[in-house]
Amino acid sequence: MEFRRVVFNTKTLFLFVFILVIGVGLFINSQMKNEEYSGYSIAEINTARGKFVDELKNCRPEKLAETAANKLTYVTTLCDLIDFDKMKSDNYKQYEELWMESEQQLRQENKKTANYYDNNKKTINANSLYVQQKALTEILEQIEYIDSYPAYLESINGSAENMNSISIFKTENNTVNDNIEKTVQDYSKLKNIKLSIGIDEPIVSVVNSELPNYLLIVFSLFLVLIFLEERKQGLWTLIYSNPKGRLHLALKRAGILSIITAFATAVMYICMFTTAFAIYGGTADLSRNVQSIAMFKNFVFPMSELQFIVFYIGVTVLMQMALASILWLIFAFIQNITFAFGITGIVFAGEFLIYNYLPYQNYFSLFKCINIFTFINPSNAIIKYRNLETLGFTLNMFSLLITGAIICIIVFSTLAVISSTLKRPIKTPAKIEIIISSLVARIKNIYWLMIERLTVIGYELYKILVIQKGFIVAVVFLFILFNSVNTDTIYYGATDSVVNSFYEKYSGNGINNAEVYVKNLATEIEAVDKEYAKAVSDYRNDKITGEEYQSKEMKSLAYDSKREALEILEERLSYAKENDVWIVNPQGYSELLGKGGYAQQTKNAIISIFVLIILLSGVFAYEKKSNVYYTMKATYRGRNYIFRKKTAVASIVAVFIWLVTGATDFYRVSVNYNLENLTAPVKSLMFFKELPFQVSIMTYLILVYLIKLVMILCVAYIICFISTVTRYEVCIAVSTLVLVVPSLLYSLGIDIFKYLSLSILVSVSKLLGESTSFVFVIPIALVMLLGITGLVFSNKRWCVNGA
Amino acid sequence: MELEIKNLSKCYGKYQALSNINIKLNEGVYGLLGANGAGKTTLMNLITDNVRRNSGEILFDGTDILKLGKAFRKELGYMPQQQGFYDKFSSKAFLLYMANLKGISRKQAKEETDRLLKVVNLDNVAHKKIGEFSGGMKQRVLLAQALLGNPTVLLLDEPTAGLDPKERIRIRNFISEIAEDKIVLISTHVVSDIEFIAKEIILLKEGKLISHNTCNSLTKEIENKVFEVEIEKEELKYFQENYRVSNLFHSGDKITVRIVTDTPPKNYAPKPVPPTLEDLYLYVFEN
Repeated sequence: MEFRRVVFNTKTLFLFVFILVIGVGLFINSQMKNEEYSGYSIAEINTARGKFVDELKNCRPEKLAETAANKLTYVTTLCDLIDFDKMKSDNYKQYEELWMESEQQLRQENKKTANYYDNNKKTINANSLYVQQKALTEILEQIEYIDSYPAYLESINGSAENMNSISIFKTENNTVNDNIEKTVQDYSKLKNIKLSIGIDEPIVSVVNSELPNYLLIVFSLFLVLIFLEERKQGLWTLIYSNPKGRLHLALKRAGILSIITAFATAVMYICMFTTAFAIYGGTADLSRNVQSIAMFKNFVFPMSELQFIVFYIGVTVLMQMALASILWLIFAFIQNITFAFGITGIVFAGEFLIYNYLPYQNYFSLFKCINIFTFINPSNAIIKYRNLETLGFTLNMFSLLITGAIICIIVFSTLAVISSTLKRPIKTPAKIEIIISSLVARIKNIYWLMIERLTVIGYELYKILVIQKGFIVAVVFLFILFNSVNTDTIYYGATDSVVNSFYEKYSGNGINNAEVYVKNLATEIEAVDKEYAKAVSDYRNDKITGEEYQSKEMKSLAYDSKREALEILEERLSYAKENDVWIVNPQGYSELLGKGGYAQQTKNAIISIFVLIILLSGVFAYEKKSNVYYTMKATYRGRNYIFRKKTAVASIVAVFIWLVTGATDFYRVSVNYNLENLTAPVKSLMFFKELPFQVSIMTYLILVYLIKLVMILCVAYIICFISTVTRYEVCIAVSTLVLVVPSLLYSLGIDIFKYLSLSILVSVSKLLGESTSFVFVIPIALVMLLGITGLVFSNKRWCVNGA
Repeated sequence: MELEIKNLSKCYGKYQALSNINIKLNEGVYGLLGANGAGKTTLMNLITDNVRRNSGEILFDGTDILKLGKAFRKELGYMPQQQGFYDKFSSKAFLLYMANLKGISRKQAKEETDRLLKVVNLDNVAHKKIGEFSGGMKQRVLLAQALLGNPTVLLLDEPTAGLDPKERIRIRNFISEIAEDKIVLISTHVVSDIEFIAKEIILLKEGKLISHNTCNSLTKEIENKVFEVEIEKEELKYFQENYRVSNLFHSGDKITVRIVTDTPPKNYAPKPVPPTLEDLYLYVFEN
């Protein structure tokens, strides 16, 4: 029955599915981000790599590196020839002066490839070649690693022998000597293993992913809190007075916690690995030794990838069980749940400090290894080989971790069982507790005197923020927002420095001075190009020495950034002239209103909507949950009046979220950029050239942020409506499903959800910025209509005569 | 002042919760008696307009309460059966909040809150969270909020549930004192709560109004149906199975049972005794 109560509980099942979806979803998102960052599509890289790996697998081991290098040379040559052709078409004069000779040399050295290129120019897919080049570069790195591995193992043996030949290390009972011997012994297991090339990413990406472990802790905490439900519902005395309500129940719970934690962890990681293999491929490599992956070169247990996956899941299961048992002990031992949370926070904080600041060389380094945060992220202990000299012994970190986890599970679970069995529901306070209680009572009196002065709106906010713990959500929200702001100084490249310097001097209305500057810059660059071209000719004709030639070449190369800058400035100047707009530095505005900020603003919008759901789901639903609903509605002001007040509170919360996200946007941008020329026409920013209207940048900013405000208010009113017709928990679930999930799915690349994604409207920059007509008004109007309808129906639902 | 209920009916789907109720209530205390599921709470919910009626009218001084709207609710004090409050509020904070909802000014709300907390004996725990109260204390908080604003119509659903006898008597006496210029409708299972203070008793059974009259008139109806019989201990089970036993007490080896019946057991020399409201309750509601 207890198993059924805990497991087949709507909340448990919902939370389990939720963390699974979040864990896997965010994992996919992070892999897609890596793809974006690298500039290559994962699918294309996978295909290319898979093709080459299959081809190279048939090679003899001694020929592998050479074959791969030859393939890389071939592909690189083709890529270079494509680049030369592009340079020819962009600026032939420059190509002729700077690159022609290099191309001739390349063609000379790779005649066959050059001929192939010339004959198949039109059909060659440049993008595919770049992808192949990247894939082959990575494969070659892999081959180099594999080839160097035996030497690496030898070097470990060699250093051990070297150190042993020095007498101070050779004394008996010497931990350093023990360390050396143990290292040699452990690495000797890897002596004869065979490594092979393959696709590393599936395993590497999962092992590097920490988030699932944190989600699993949340799930374990939730299970522990379900055990303690009897305390909140006043059942503890009843259950404790039953024959099976003490030890028997505690033992059952120990079993349930272990089984469910193990199951949840295993399912999470099976899903993660399956997803990783689906994204990257590589299932054909499951039988190769895991040490074939460079990340695992120090993993001293010979096993295949498949065996490692099972092993890794097993280790994570053990770690999660250890964490769950720690949590259970704290909450079983401490009667007051709020106090238990506080102690948990302190324990985690202490463990965090030890984990981060205690050196491995410290005598007490044991506590760095057997540590909550090591349990949360065991990957480090798995992939790094380390022997700790702690408390007078030499112990391998990984073995210590496993042993520590097992001991923690046994000890903490046992203590939790004992605690649950012996702890009586009714506490007899000790003398010190009485003293503290009376002090606390005085503080509480002052607190309540303040609360009693609140107005109705104050009370409603109090219910949301304090009683329903909304302030925790608000704090976490602020933390996430401000953490997303990158305050690192941006170091500009040479080109950007030239461009920025131009904007500092010449941005604004009027382009005459700017034109002069650009013209002078062009003249300057032309002079340098001429100088270099003469140097090339003189050098060929032996009129100047190699050193003199090189100095001219260096000077010409140094002007590359100015050449790029000139191209940019000419484009911007020509745009300003043609469209009769100002010269405005677009960088900051791109981050705030343009493409540079879309991703972050969309993410903030999704988070904002979710936070709004958590905060506002109880606005109306809480009255039913607390059974005050009927009493309230029977009062003079219990209908229209309180409805208006609650709606006002919902609006205040929405405005707060709008203010905070807006402030973050501005802070994020203003830390690194100046937002100047606010009175300039908005089309001065090239990325707005297709806007269907012309206003100043300031007006556009106000418009964007006003629309954001209206949208977030409408979302708030929709949530209010759902809150009037459903229970609190159902409101959260339904609102999340309707208002957040489509946005999440759209952000993960499922385009069809674009039409249901509210985040596009709440962030609004992309919708407005990329519009070429007034069609953007339609979705905005629709959401406004939904918001107003939500408000009207909520009013009807709440205020209508009868329920 | 008059609260008139005319032909009032309410059904939930196929289930008829209330059927054609007709009553007139003036100043004084009225006891609403009925078994579980009789329709007492439904009647209260209809008067507070917390549920939509199917047919009939509820008139306050001749005007339908739906037309009066919040003007009627201003006169209303309601204590529901289900304990509903914010358990993280202190009792005083909760009362001040409810006072605000009742349209009471801040100054008056403070005075009334302090006074009512004294009345219900909770003034020394005014700043303690309601969630930490015992069941009886919670009940007293709810009673206090119902009395805020000096309502003219007071609906109390099980007001003394969870209270000890001393508190029960205090609350009963207090209600009796204040009922002079109010319409007080008390729904209860505890017959003694209303036996001595109620002007009239309203009997509801399976959604229908069985009777409403003064306590004396109602009990007179079962005047010759209540008996005390002396029996052996072994016969107790037989009597419990075959008669309505309203009370029993031991006297030496024998047991005296108080039964309510149309057909007294002739072999046992039943002694007729004056009926009480409790006897009436058993007679009406127990088969």
